[in-house]
Amino acid sequence: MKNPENMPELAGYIDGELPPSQVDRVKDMADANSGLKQAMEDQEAVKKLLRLNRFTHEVPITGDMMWDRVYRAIEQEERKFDAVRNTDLITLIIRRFWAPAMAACLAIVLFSAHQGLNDKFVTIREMRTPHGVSATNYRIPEAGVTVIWMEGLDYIPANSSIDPAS
Amino acid sequence: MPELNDIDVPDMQLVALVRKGDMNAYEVLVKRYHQKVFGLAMSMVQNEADAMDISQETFIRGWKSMSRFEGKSSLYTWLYRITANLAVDVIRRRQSKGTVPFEEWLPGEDAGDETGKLMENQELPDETLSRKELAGAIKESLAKLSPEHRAVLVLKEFEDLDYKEIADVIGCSIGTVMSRLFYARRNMRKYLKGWI
Repeated sequence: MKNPENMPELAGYIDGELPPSQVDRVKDMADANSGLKQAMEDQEAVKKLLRLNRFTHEVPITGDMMWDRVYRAIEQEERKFDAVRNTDLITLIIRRFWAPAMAACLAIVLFSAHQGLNDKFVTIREMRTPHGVSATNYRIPEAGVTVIWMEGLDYIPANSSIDPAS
Repeated sequence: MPELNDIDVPDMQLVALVRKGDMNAYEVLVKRYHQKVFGLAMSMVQNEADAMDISQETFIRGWKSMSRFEGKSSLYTWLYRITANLAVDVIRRRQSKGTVPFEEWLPGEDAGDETGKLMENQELPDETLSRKELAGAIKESLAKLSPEHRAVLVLKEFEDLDYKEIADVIGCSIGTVMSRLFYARRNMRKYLKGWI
């Protein structure tokens, strides 16, 4: 031991916290070493001084007032927590479900558009051209026109030269 | 079931109710321990405003983390742990800023006031003066200790906890408590040289 006075067991000894097996050993060491004995006396002196001069701190507010402060603070924290939790929930929903939601919206729009077109187009007849291309002759009553859809082509006016119905 | 206002309702019974969200049970616990919690905070930080804030924060954290209280130690030891940690943080913040509250450095100014009062016996006026000076010297010396040394010394000498309880509060081994107490007292001996 570099410095025999640096012996934390001295604190344990004067506080009565050492295991019985160590008590006699520490006492014997202190009796045999004046530096150690002095260190032990210093520890005891500080302990005694602090014990004799303990502070008492009177709480400046009553228990009711303390509870009132604590209660209000807890309520405030819980409100904040709820707000954060709700925001988090919305964010989570947006993050997790935005792609499926967009896909669903798109599907609905396309389906509606398709249905809308179906409602507007009245099939007159379906046929095949001499070259084996399928074609459909539609009438659009609202617009007062007749169109032909041919496989691989856009809708074309019924009065064009390739109109099979003409 | 006993009335919650009954002072004899055991802590653990109240804790069980608090875990179910019973605010009335927590109110009883706050009122039961607010003086002890404030006393420890005040002994450590030596500043009434800080001690009040620490006390309030202790009970707020206590409410929020009551589900984690396992009952291995007593409730006040558990509350002391929260208080001591908060107080150590306050002391560290002060030390890092290099600031110490004014009242901490008033040697014995408030020793006869409501806070920071030494336990008084019947004594003569000149003894009162001497005790005020001693109170100031003790405060100054405590303020010079590191937060860790201050915590164990306050818990041992002012709060009268044993090593096991201090270890529970601080979250360290009994050997560390013994060591910190030894060096804390050795430093106090140095600072209080004129008084010992």
